[in-house]
Amino acid sequence: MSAADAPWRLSIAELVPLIRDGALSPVDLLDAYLERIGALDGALHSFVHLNAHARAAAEAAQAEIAAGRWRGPLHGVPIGVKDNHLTADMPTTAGAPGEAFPLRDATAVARLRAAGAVLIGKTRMHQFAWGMETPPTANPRDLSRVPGGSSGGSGAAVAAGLCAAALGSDTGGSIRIPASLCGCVGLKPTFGLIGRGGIVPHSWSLDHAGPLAASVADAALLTEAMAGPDPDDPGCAGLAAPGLAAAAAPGASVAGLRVGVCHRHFFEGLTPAVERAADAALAALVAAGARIVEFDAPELSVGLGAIFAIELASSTAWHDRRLREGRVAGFEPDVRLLVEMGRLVSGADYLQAERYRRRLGEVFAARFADVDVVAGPTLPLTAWRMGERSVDIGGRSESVLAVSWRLTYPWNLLGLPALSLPCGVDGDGLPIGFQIAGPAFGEAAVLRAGAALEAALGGPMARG
Amino acid sequence: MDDAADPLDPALLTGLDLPPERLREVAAAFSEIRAEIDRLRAFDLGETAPAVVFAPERQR
Repeated sequence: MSAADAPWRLSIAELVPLIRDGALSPVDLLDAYLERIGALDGALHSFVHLNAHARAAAEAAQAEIAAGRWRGPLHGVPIGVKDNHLTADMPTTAGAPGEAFPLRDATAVARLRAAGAVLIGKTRMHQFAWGMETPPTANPRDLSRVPGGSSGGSGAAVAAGLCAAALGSDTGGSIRIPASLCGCVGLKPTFGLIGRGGIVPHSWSLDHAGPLAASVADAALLTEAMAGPDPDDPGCAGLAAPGLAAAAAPGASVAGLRVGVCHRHFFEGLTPAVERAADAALAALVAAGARIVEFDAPELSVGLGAIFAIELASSTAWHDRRLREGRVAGFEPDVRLLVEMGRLVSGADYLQAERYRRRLGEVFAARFADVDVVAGPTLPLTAWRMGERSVDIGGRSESVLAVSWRLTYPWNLLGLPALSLPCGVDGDGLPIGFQIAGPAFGEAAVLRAGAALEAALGGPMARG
Repeated sequence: MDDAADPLDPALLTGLDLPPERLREVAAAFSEIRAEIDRLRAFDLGETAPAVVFAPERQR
């Protein structure tokens, strides 16, 4: 099958020369995705809104490129936008259809638009970025299973080949969880690298914006495009991120890379399939020239309480007026319960969590003096069935909230970059994610390691 | 504040103006999270200060 027959199968890196050289028009590419959406999204429910202006944007891109004004690798490329990012030409609901957020572009969206990307639509999210299921979105690898959350629509749409890439946000794992469960790549960059201006807040000190993509190189392209100053985000570092695409380009080498492995916590309570796949991924990195450095971080044993305290209290603070005024009818039942539960977190609990956060930061600052990246599985398991509230791993029952966050949350508390990429499938053919994290603004090493592992495993996971 | 209000009223203590049965439901759902927070409370953080501190130079 040629690229012209199925351009949706291609990564952005593969699309670039075709679009730039006129072999594939942005309009034809948009049509290919819209055809896929028409055929598949009735079952997947990954989009909540399709952009009526997308065709005009694709036509404009086509005309510019034909006139020799190619803007760069995202020019003419259709991108999905998580429904908590404000957009000037599409409504934003954050998963609550009664909400009416302003019609303007979030900073990250504006940067993509300036890079020439075609915004194809808004992807479904678990309401207000709470939750791990994103109902009614289905996992494209098995429609009876969840895509994860809260960026579940983005994960499902990318993995199914309904858009070239999509935007997500990650407070406890909400980019990496759907990437892992759906079988695509997700990057939560360093806190402050991508501005969050115009993204509906969930937890101010934990929220991160980032991409879900078909390959590590594509995630690098989007991150590089979205990084930079943001006057609407007081947490933004104001740094550009040149060199990320180069770090993830073909031929990325991990020779001499020190890969930190902490078996305590990051390799505990895994399903056998996940454990095997993660061990194989580590072996692949070693075969490619990396060196494993074992370390321990006993402090991780109490960290789940810290992110629970901060995320619950912050979310409740943001929704406080709605709670006080009794405007709760728009909440989904599970989200209402979480928002009300935040009232039960005391101020002392919150500050204990912030003290723990500093301690954990000191621990990992010391560990990153000895390692370049830290690696392990993204999640302890593969996609669970829709409606399940708890799962059983090794005879131990665990809530889906805890099991989803267990391995992802440390990097939110620390604000450090963390990438998830597919590293295999389980016995049911469900994707398994592998997580690579790095020091602050160490995205280049994280992406280089991810690209090398992806290549060693045979390339990006096929979409569709 | 109403002088007759019970200072131990759960709705007053939590700031959640909810019927008792709903408060019980919220509290029951919170029990898993409470257990994790209790483990954090028991962790010795010594003299560690919070990660988030006031930074006057960053005010705008």
